Amino acid sequence: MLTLEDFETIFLIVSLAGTLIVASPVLVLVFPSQGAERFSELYVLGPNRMAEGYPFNVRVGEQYLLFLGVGNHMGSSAYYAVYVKLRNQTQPLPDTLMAMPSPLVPLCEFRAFVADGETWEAPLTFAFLNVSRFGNSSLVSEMSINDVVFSVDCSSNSGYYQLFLELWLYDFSLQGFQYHGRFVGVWLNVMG
Amino acid sequence: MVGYPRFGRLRPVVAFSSFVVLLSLCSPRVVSAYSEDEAYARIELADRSVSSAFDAVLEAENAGANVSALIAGLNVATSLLVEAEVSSRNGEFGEVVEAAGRSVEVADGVRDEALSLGASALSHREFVFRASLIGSAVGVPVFLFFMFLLWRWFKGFYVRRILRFRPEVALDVDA
Repeated sequence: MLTLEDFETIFLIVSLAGTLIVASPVLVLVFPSQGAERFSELYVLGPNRMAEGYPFNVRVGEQYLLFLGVGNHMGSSAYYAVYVKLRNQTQPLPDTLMAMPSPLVPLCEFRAFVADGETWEAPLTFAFLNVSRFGNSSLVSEMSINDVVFSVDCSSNSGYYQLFLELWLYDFSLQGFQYHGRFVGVWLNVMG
Repeated sequence: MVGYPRFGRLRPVVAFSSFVVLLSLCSPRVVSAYSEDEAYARIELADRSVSSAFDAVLEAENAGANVSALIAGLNVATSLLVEAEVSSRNGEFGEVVEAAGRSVEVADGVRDEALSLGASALSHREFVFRASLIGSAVGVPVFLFFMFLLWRWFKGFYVRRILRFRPEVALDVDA
């Protein structure tokens, strides 16, 4: 059987719990939740808006479709830039350990504001417009992205190129974009 | 017989149409007269306007405002900014100035809306905070007082219940 001291302890615990419940509206405002882990997503989808059917063997002059997506889980709205770059097999990718972007010059960029917990998607159509061939080697000198033509200077000994995208996040302290440590890409075999 | 109007009657119409055609031919030249430096300056201005608008949107969001519509507006402003940058690469400085100008307009509109939305969200948040503070300041003592009264009643009830017990002799207990 419970003694009077046991009942006293139960009353104290119930009083404490009740006090916390009654004061919880103020406690929530004074000590806001820190939330879960903060991160951003960057992804590329195929022409059917699924993670399949990515173009690989691409022909000069033909247009190919991808979908680019950015997801925001940073706890507040964020301003993103996605830089589109082209590289051959020997040119550098971003350094994942040092969180440094690739030194290659971007062909073009996408910018998007994404609210917390939301994703942003945009179509990315590309075409290789001007490719010179020297045996097995090739030189891409012009390509279009979303119907805008860009000059390129990228050569490859094998004909393989990687179209990759880097995610940058706007930093108010820098008053500019900073590499956010995310990149994705698709390998392309540029055929004649 | 239906006669065609003479050219003399149409002269004002023709003159006006010619004027409009000439104006439309001349206006691109006027727009494209912007220099490269001026185009870059407009892009920088648009960039600053977009950043400033985003700053205001973040403040409104932190104050608890729903910023979905503002985010959509910012995306319009930034797409115009990117359009201006693409045009500047192609040397189309007239289009740069136009797109950057529209970007500034949209961004400034978003910033103004964010400031007013943020101010109203902040005042609503202050009201909620005060109401919660008063509710807690009154509710906690009332609750504790209620628990104290309940405890006193329970303690008395418990003691009275104990005192009602009578000692009884158990016949089947050893020792």
